[in-house]
Amino acid sequence: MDLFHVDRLSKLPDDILYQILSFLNIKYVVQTSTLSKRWMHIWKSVTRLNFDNYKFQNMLQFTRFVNNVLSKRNSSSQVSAVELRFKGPATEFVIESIVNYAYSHSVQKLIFIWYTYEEQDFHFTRVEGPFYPKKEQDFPPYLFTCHTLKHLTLAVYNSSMFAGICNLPESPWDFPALETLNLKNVQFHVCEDKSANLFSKCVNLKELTLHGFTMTPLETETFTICAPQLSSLTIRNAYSFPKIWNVVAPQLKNLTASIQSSLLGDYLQLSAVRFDSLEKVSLSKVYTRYYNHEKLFDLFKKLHSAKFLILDMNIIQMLSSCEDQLQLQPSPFNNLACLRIDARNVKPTPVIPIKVRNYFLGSSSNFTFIMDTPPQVPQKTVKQQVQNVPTAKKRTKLDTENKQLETIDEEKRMLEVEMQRQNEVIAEQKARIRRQDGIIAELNAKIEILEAAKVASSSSGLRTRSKRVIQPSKSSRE
Amino acid sequence: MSTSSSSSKKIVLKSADNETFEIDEIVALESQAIKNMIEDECADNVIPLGNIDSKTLSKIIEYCKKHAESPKKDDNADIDEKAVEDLKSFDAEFAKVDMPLIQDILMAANFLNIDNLIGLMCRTIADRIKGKTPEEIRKILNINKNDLLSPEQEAKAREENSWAFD
Repeated sequence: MDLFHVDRLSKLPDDILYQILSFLNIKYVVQTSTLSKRWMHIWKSVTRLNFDNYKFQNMLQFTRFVNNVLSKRNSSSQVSAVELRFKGPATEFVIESIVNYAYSHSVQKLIFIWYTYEEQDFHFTRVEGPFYPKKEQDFPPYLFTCHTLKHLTLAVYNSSMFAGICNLPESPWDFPALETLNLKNVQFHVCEDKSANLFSKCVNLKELTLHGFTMTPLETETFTICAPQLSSLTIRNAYSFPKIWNVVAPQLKNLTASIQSSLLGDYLQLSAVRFDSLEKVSLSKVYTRYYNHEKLFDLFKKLHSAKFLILDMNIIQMLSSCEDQLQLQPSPFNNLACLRIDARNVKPTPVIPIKVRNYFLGSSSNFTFIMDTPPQVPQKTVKQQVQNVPTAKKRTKLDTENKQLETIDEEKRMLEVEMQRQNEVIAEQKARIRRQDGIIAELNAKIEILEAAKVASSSSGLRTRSKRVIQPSKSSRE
Repeated sequence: MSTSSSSSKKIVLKSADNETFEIDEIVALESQAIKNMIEDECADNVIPLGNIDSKTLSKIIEYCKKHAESPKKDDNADIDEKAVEDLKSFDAEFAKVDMPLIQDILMAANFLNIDNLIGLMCRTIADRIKGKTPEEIRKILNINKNDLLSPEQEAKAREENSWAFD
């Protein structure tokens, strides 16, 4: 029997055990200390730490837990990554403890996911904006200085869109080693001259993703992204835009953006810089009635060097509505190898007006045109080849197609995570409602008792009723 | 892609129970250890793997074949995301085996130095012990009886880390 049931893990080096534990929440990691003699001290040297205060009843317990982990951990062992999922106000000292520990142990990756749905955690700092009162709090400033950090994700999840707005500091962030930066649902707090230049010290930044952000004040003039190494920039689902994006990124290869125009925000207006390395541009448009064709033409001019262009149907429809103006515009793209239209949400399959096509493909002699149609259609992509497309072109076409799929999948994954979170929130809220119901029932019962007592004191005839009322209050206390 | 060009060169692996597996060199190169052996020219026609049984080895070859055939993520321009997706679902299916085999694969992958496979097996083990009690984990991992803590030691360890057991 022993031949088949040997403890195989005992033969593996500690590094492998660390790797296994790096996938688990640190609470469970510490609990492995009772598994066996071998496992007793393994947890102390795990290099990826995943904290989640969701698993604790209150902040005090979580703080005590964190202090224990950090003080009992083998402090000569580096910390490669920290993931912190935190519910509560960011002024809590426990966040500072974790971040300081990570930053002083050469951490390379930090993921901070902040759940801000606890209403009572918020204090009104200001009331602003025409439509809703905002409750705001700040990301702690000590987060924004680290010389070893390569990957940083800051994400905020709220129970409602405006339940919590989390401000980022306005002075330049000090991350000289940072390569990847993901920001989700945050608010850029822009200083008094209404311009921001946050990433000027992030000289190694290669990938920047801004997802679902707002800016305050709303009339922010310029938002500067100055990053000599930047190769990929994503700006998506913004609730407000600066007047000008000043993107100084000579190495930029991929740009993904959703553009919009409304009373609150405006177009993706880029400053007059050149993107000579641009390869792939993917643009979608948040549907609004208000449009400005000139601004869109201007944007395309600035993206003239793009090789692969992906557009959604909202942009095509907008261009279709101004065909006359379109005719007067020379095609800005001189390197375009592939135009791809995302029409997966449009039925029946739309026809792209010839003027729109000529606008994009006018000066290119050799290109691929792809249209994504709804998935029900057996043929997923309808290809129209103008000339014989060389295999390299086909490959690039596949590339863009798959990139698109990847972003969708990514989105799906994020949504799934978010959904799971929201479900947990709902469950917790339900539990709270149940608790509150209990309290209310109890209070009601007490009121009835008091009332009954009052009635009883004036008339003894109603005694039987008051007895019936007492019972639920007893059971609700149990 | 690159498989077809070098598919001619074959490598033979021999398991602990003397079964031989003839595979394309490109598949064998998924193993950093074998790659080093080939590069240092210290690999004979047959590479004996005295600590890996044929069941484990055939699983590992299945994994390496699939991963060798898939386009690599190295050159950015040519990533075939469909292939990446395909690979992901392959990995998920691949990991649906019992714990002893997972541990055998992990040991062998560690010996052969196949990074992705080590990662996949570690993640699979983590997923299976997630949220389980120490007693359940001991069973799942089949932790050596000789290595177990005495009741007193365990109580002491638990006491020391009581802050993690609330």
